[in-house]
Amino acid sequence: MKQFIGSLIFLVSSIFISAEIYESPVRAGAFESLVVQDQGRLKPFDTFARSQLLLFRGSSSINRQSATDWLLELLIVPEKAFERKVFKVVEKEAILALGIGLDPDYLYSFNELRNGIGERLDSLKLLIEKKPEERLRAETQLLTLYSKVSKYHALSRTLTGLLADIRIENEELAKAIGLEARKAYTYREFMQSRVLLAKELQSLQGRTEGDAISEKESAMVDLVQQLQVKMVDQGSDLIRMIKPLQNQKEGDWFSPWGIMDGRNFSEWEIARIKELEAIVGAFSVDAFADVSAQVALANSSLNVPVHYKAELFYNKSRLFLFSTVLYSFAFLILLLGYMLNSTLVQRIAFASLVLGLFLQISAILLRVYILERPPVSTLYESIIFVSAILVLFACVIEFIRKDTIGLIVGSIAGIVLNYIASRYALDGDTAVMLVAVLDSRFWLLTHVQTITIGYAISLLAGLVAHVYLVIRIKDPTDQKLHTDIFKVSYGVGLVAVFFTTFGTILGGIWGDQSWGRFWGWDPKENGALLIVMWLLVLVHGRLSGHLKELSFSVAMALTPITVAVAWFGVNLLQVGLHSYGFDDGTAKKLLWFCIAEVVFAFGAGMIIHFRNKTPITSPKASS
Amino acid sequence: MTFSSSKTMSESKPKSPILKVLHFLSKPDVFFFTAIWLIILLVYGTIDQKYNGLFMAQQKYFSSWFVWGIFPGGRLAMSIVFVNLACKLIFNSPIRFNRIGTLVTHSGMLLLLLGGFFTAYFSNEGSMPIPEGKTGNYYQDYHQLEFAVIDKSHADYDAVTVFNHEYIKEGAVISDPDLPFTISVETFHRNIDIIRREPEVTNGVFGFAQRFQFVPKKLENEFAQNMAGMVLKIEGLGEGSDGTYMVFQFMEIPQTVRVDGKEYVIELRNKRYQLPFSIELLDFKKKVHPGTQMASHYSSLVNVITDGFKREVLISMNEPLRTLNYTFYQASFIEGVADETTVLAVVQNAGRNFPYISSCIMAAGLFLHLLIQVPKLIVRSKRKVEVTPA
Repeated sequence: MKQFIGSLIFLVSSIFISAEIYESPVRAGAFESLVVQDQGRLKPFDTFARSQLLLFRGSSSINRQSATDWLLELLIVPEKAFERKVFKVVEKEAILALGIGLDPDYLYSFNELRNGIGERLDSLKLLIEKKPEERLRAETQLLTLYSKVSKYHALSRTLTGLLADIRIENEELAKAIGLEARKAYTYREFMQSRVLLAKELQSLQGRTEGDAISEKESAMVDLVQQLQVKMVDQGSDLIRMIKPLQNQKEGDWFSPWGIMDGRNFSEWEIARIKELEAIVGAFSVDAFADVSAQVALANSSLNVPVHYKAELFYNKSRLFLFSTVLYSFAFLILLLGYMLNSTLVQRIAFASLVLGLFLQISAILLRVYILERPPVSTLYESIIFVSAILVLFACVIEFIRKDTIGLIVGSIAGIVLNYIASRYALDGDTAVMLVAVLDSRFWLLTHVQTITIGYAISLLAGLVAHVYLVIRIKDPTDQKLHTDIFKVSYGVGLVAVFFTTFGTILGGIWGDQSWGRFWGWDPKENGALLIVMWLLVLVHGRLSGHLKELSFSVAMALTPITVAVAWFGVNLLQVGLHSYGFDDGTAKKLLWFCIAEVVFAFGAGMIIHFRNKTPITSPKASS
Repeated sequence: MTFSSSKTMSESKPKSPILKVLHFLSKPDVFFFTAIWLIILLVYGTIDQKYNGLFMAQQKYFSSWFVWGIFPGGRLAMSIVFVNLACKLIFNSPIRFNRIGTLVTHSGMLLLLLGGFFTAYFSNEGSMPIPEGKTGNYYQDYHQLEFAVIDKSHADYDAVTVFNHEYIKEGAVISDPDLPFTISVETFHRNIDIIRREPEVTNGVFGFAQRFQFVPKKLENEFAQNMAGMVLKIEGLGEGSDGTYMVFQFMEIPQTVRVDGKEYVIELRNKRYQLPFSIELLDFKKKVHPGTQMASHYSSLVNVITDGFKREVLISMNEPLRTLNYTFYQASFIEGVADETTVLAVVQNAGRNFPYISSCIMAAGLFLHLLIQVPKLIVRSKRKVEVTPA
């Protein structure tokens, strides 16, 4: 909770208080829109850079310096980038193990880490050989850090193949291999002379140490050394920027080093490499170069629709952040409204909530446009979608009832769910591709969206029940109000029954269509069934008279547990078709959530129950 | 939905004891308590899947009549819900406008459970691996076993005698008038490890069993990974051949016995279902998301061969082949050195149309119910205009 409040304050302050702006040594400008291929899809360089920075830093910018600026700095002037404290490492044990002094902000430079690792390479090698399950936690953290540092280095060498930095000082040698002396060549340009160089190199054969060599031969040795240094980078096959065939719609792209595998380049390939050389060349001369023309040229050869402009806008506009801020604002204003008892302030809160919702829905629609698929396909997307649907229905309730129940429920749920989503967003690019079974537009559109709406509305029904319990404790005499709120939670519960039942059955039909079984007792299916059964028990308990208004509300307040279990919990079991990757932390958080809900619901229920047994004098009646 | 419907039931209590029982069975109370029990089973069974695998947990909790001895299993609990619903529809469904939604929904649910019954008792499913260029005409059950004796002596066909899973247990005697020998099952284990015998045994022990023996092993979570094994005593082969033999699932070199110059193969294998046609795999294709190893799509181009007539069909993810009563799904694949093998999932299900019909009915019913009920429940708050009693 502390962390959550801290993040909330940070969220708000990061918008309203301008942080110290880092003077970037490079300005990437239009480079951010260069389309690259990463994790199975085409995306602007900006998205790629953000996901890389998240890996090292845990955030998608550094002191207001954009991720693209950071990555370009690393690519063009790595020596400077290596000095900067880019790595955020909170695992103290890993840092101490490397013999580095702890930084109060957990920030470390590449050079610091590299030096630490360099001195302990032998023991790290022993660690790598150890079986993963036998490694201690600190050892695993150390290895993770090691692999990050290695990746950082590899990343910094990715574009070296495009830099014009191969020079031949000796006129005679230059002439012999058909090049100009003292002119800088790129690796690709140089490779055109490789056959001639190989021929020249034959003259060195049979020489032994101590033999006199000519200046030309000495230059040859120099050149070979230059090339050897360069070719070490060949493994830095990280950023896929080159589309290998003109009419290719799918298939692998190449990284600059990946394509320099000794092949004879086609005209198309040469044109693509030249475009990139021009961009990199411009930056190596002037770190603030304007490359918009070169990038536009490179992007014009795509031949497939890539909504990179929309994606850039999406990345920069931070719509989810702003919608969270608006939800928070709505919540705070609402509290103020309670204190002042002012309808106007409540209306402002409502407007803020609606505006926040508008931004959130816009962001979701932007994702639909960019990825060309329905809004919910991954866990992250399900969270932002549930958040939007929940706030939407809360707004509808508020619009109908106008008694702030919708406002309080909508704003709290919006803030919490968007916060959870923002934690998931730290894992990297949230727009990931899907495994084959899930990649079916029709079923994603029907089953997944319906069941996700079901989650949202079940949560909403549970939250309204929370409000019921709180109000009954706070104001025990206003029975009319209690019954009113109870009816809202019952009504929302019925809507939830519709969406969860229908969504679950649609899931079964998808299963029948795709795997030949309507129902397989897969954990995810069971999770969805759990929500349905729970809601049905509530409805029928009410019908049969086993659940009274209070016991119904206590049970309804527990509904979020069933949702959380179905949504996140079943993934912890790691069995069946539906499970996506997960960590231990989630299990603990989920457990705490369940405990908190049970304590709240039963605690509130007991308080109300026992207070009802002891006669109370109504303040209203006695006045 | 009214909030006092329990009263309406108690108003008209029937007198005949049978009617009393039926009336009791039609109450929402029955569903309330059964559903709570189902939730407990659901949670317990799902957690158990982590420890005992999907199949075993399903068998134990969801597809069983009883669990933990005397408690109702999933099948019994669902049957109770079925009876409850049926009684409710017959004896306790006054046709009123505001009940029409629940009536329709309950009918749909009844149909869904009926479909579940058909699927549970009248459906078969299994897998069918076919290497590229090869043809298959049967599929095999994922879990059930069978014991087969194959007479190899005929020139143009094999005579196969199959014994179902009831014969595959300790103490069972496998015999048939067509077979010149009798087999009795000495030991049977559903999952085994095979270890070498040191030294070899030759006294009354034959074939594979001379050099190997097996030790029973805990069942795997992924049930299909279990390897069953049997030790058999065979009599009637003649002096010098009668004795102990051993067979197990997935044996690469089949166990054979000889009698009167005829050769018989004895096999413990997954139960096979014969198809009335055959399927030839022409080409298997797999596509990955560019720049990754993640499969984005796979498909099998096959020939469906019925009485020599060939029909080309493409089976891909989410697009199965449906022919006669069978459905073939692209399930997975095995990547070999030289060629690829597709694995099709085959389903023959008598109840497969039920969910489609019932879900339409239920969706319509629930929607109707919402339209009728929800506007009454979520209304404008009157709190502000209320006058506080003085």
